[in-house]
Amino acid sequence: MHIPDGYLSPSTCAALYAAVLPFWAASLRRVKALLATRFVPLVSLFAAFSFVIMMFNLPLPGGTTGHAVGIAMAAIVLGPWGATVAISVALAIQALLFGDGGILALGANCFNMAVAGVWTAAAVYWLIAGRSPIDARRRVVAGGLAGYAAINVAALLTAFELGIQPLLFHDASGAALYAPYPLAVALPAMMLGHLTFAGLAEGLLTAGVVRYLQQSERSLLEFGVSGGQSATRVALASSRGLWVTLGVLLVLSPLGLLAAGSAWGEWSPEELADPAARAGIAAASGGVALPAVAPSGLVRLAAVWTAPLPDYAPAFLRSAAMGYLVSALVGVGLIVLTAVALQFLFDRNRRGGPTAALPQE
Amino acid sequence: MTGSPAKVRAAAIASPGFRLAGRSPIERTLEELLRVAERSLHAEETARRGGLLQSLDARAKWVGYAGFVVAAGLARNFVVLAALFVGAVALGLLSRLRLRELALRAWLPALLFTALVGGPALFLVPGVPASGLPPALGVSASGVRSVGFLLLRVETITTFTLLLVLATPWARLLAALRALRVPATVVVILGMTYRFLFLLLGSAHDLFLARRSRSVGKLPPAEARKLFARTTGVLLSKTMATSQQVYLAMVSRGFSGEARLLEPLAIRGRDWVAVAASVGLSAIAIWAGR
Repeated sequence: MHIPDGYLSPSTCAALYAAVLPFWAASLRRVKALLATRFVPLVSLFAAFSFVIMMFNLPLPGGTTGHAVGIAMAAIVLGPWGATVAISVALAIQALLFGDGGILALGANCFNMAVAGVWTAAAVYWLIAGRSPIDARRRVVAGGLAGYAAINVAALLTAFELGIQPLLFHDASGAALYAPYPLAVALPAMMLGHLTFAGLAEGLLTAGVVRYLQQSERSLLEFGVSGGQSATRVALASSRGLWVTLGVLLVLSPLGLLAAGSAWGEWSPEELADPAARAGIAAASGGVALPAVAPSGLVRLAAVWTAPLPDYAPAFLRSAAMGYLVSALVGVGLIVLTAVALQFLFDRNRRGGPTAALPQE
Repeated sequence: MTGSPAKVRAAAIASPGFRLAGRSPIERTLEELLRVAERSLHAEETARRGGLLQSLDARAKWVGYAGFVVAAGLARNFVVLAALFVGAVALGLLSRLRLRELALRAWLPALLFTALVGGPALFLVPGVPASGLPPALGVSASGVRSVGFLLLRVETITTFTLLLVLATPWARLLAALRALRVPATVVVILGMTYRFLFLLLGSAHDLFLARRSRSVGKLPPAEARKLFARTTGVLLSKTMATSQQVYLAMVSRGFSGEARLLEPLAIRGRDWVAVAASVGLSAIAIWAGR
């Protein structure tokens, strides 16, 4: 899970640093505003806690052991903003002090675990736990699933980042310069271990800790300390049905493969020049004859922009169904990111000062 | 043993008297906790040796590190990568780091991990059979080059990272981050995390050791899982309680939320020479390694 230096190209590392920087900045600002002066010791101690529990060898069913990362635990107790900072700090110390995970690759590791993992955990926990009572069994299940989902989303991103390296970076002889496996190998190799052992370790430990907190430290479950009252939580909880529907639609997105031809009015110049496609278009247009050649304006404007994922089929994926799924994930991710960014900007303009609705010890 | 409470604590839990030979999950965890403490102590010791890198300002080392690591990351040429690796080893020797230390902390773990992860690429990457090897093995020339690049690059970057960490006290390493425009708040958090890491490592160690010393035989897996969850929960409770105590202590000493750092670093002539040399050499390596 912790990508060492040398496995990703410097440009990939730079891109992922650029991707994670806004989250770091937003999280720091948000947590500072929410926790005021308590922020520094709380996040520091929690980062140290995250670091320590990464050393634990949790016994798993089957006689093996696995390491948990504590992503979901941090998201549940600190809230996603605080968890992003705390997990990032723990990863930075692991990389700097112990060489576990690279320093060039720190942006990638933080993006995978401290951002994508943390927010996945927070979303899954809130969606499942909802407004259930603090001591509800449902919260234990929510914690376990949040841990399982978080570690697997982080692993999926890691596999994706590693898997695109040989496609993008190779020498003249075709030898890979960085991670050598294409997506077809990297995805199953990475996900097999995480869907089983690593995911199980994270899920079991998170569920166990939620159970412990229900019995002994209920206050820690009542509020994500740094984000318990955040608009994001309320929005996620109140729109649970929407998120579930979105998830189902994502899974079903490869159904698009069943549809033949192009949607009406979405023809490319190539289709307008192809006799078979022209016959189909004419049939779908009530027999109205098409112009003999593609309109010049359409031809000119069609060349202005080349989509990065044309026809929902990324060039690096052989499976058409997987192409649809990845395209759907990328699309939804971009939309959610844009919405979160807009909400953040809107909140910042609207907010007069730190919220007063924090639990006071 | 003298030093800060954190170091004394680390020394106590890292002392050989606590070493356990068992392999149950609890004992494995105890060993890992000990290893972390030992590594931290070792880094503090090597950073005090009077070698080349130890004598340089931490900011100069960060700049040099960044240059060499980017050069190693970009290199598409085996000779350049090998030259960077040899340069890193030479720097280590000039900094009074032993080859054994570099081998145990950097080369061997990187070799084992890369062999495990990258080894199958020898057989999976398609291409013409590698010369000098029986074709029946199915090892392609591209596979050999791919794994070679990966291994040499990982070893080189890991060695540079280890040089930076072993030749610089943690406090100075962090203080120098300010020069790289890292916000003071982040630097303070990193420093505090490191300091309290030992406290929590000690707590976790004590919790597991207490349980182990009260157990006869091995715990059933389900019971062991419950134990880990409870221990993690207790540690979490301690973390939150300690953070509140630390916060109150900070407030009582005048903390108002503004992070401030002492920056005792002083850059001297030799540091400028080191920066110029490392930037120049990195630029040459980037150019030659295209």
